[in-house]
Amino acid sequence: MHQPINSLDIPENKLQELKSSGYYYCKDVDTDIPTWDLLIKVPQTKTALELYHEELKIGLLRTFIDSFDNALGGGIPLKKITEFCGQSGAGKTQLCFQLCVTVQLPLWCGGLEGNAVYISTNQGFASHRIREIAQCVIKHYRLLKAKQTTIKCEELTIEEIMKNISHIYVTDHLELIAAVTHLKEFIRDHPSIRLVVVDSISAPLKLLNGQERTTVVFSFFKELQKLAEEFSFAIVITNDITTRLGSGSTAYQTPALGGSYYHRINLRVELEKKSSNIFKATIAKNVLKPATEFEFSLLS
Amino acid sequence: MARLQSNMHDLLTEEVLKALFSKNIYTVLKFIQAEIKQIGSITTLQYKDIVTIRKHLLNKHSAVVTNALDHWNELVSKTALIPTGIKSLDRILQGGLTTGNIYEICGLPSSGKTQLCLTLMKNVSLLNLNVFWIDTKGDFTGRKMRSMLDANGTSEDVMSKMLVKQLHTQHDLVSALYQIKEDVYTRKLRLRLLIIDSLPPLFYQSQDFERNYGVMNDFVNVLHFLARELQIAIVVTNIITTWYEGDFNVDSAITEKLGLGKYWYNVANTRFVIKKDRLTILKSNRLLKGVSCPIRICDEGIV
Repeated sequence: MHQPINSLDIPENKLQELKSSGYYYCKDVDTDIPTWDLLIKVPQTKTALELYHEELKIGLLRTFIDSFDNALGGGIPLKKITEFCGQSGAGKTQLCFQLCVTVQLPLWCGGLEGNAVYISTNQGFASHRIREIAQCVIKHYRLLKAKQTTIKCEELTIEEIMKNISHIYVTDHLELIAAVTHLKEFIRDHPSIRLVVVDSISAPLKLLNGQERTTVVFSFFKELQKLAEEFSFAIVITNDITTRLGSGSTAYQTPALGGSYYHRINLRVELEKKSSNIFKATIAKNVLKPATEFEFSLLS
Repeated sequence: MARLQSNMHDLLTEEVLKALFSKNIYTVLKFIQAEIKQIGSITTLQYKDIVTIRKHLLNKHSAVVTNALDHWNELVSKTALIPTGIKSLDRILQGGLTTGNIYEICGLPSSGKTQLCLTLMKNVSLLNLNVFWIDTKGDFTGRKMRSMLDANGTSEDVMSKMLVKQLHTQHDLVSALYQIKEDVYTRKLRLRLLIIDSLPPLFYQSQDFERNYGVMNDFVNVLHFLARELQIAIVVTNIITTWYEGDFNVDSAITEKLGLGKYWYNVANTRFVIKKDRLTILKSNRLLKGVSCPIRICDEGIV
């Protein structure tokens, strides 16, 4: 039983070329193909114990909202895809802004000392709002710092915080995929990126029909998550709510983009606005913990 | 369709091979199909030698015939029954997972497929066996496994028996399975369970269906080899998606569709569906169809 060359990621015409010279199995290939080693490279095997230690080492992305972090089991996991979904005004974007700031906090107070990339598809990147949040986080940070005596801690400034958030604006699904390709280059010069936000994922995908949408979703997430596994960053995406007709034509509301997409993401948090600064969150999908519901307020 | 090599037979010298290759006879199959006269004219080999080489190659490369009794005896002596450790599931499985089979767990998103797989991995590892997990969407977490084991009161060395490969393409999947096959021999793994969670993300990335089927075929071949020859129980997860048909005026018809298409549909020997905290056997070559059992998800996994 030998591995056939068909199963490798080789273009069709090259496959035919190899076959016509009698190469059908990987083990037989003895000609010079420059990328051969890369083609037959097998993903590494790790034990669950090694993975566990890695997870502890890279840490979690904390929201700094206690009820939120506790419900998630400590914070948003890195290398995974976390989705916030809800109606407009449910706090999705606000939460993303807050994460862009808190990801930069130093390690001693629970941050990741990292940078953020914000990919917006609906022109929702409000820099004045980020300024406000940064101001607010600095206020909290100073309180923490005052209590801290053993570690010499750095001062945070609004300018510094805002500089560490990169913004990419995309208009359709092609630009979205291009943004990930660009990110591959960008991250080599900025390896301290710990958060990539896509706000929102549904806007550019709504234009596509069923089959094409699935393909775009799965290939986009593949590229992004591969990168996240290499560079240890969290992927946070936002999604809208749509109306569907159930049995007997009764309408009900459900997050957009359907079942196969829902299967692909790792964590889903449904958000709802209760009053001016009270939000309700339901963790609908999480491998770590069973579904929970709680209320929270954003930093102010 | 192996390529001719000088180590296949003493008479197949480099010189002979060079002559054969120059006339486009590259593979064992081509050599056997070619006229003896033709080979005689290309190479310096004698008629008698060519016949000997042919016989040797035929013996080496053709399928082996066994009779049904031997087959049965081999099956009985080799097959192992692996209890899943989930009492209600073991009952409907008539004891546990049987090696040599491909099991499929399907269900709507977030219905507990990964939870069930994690529980299987935990319980089978506790039997002092290796378990392989192929993770295609980053759902495996060491933290979850650790907390499940903590609830059981067991130590960390169980976690070093659990092997995980995280991958993202169908090509990597096939390469990974071939490597696992080698690993079982060289690293002497006590491997009885292989979990793939989940399959659809790998095959939904491209709309080149012809190529998708080709790679899936290679995948299924090596999967069968692992299951039958190395006696491993295979567990694969797959999704069910809900489809709405009809327009606003007509009562919409809701259908549920299993992922990955018709070809895959016939590959799994046994298919379970998880729905509203019940696990039901949808299809099986040995077990009773339609039998179901309740499952409960808690901190230790599924009980």
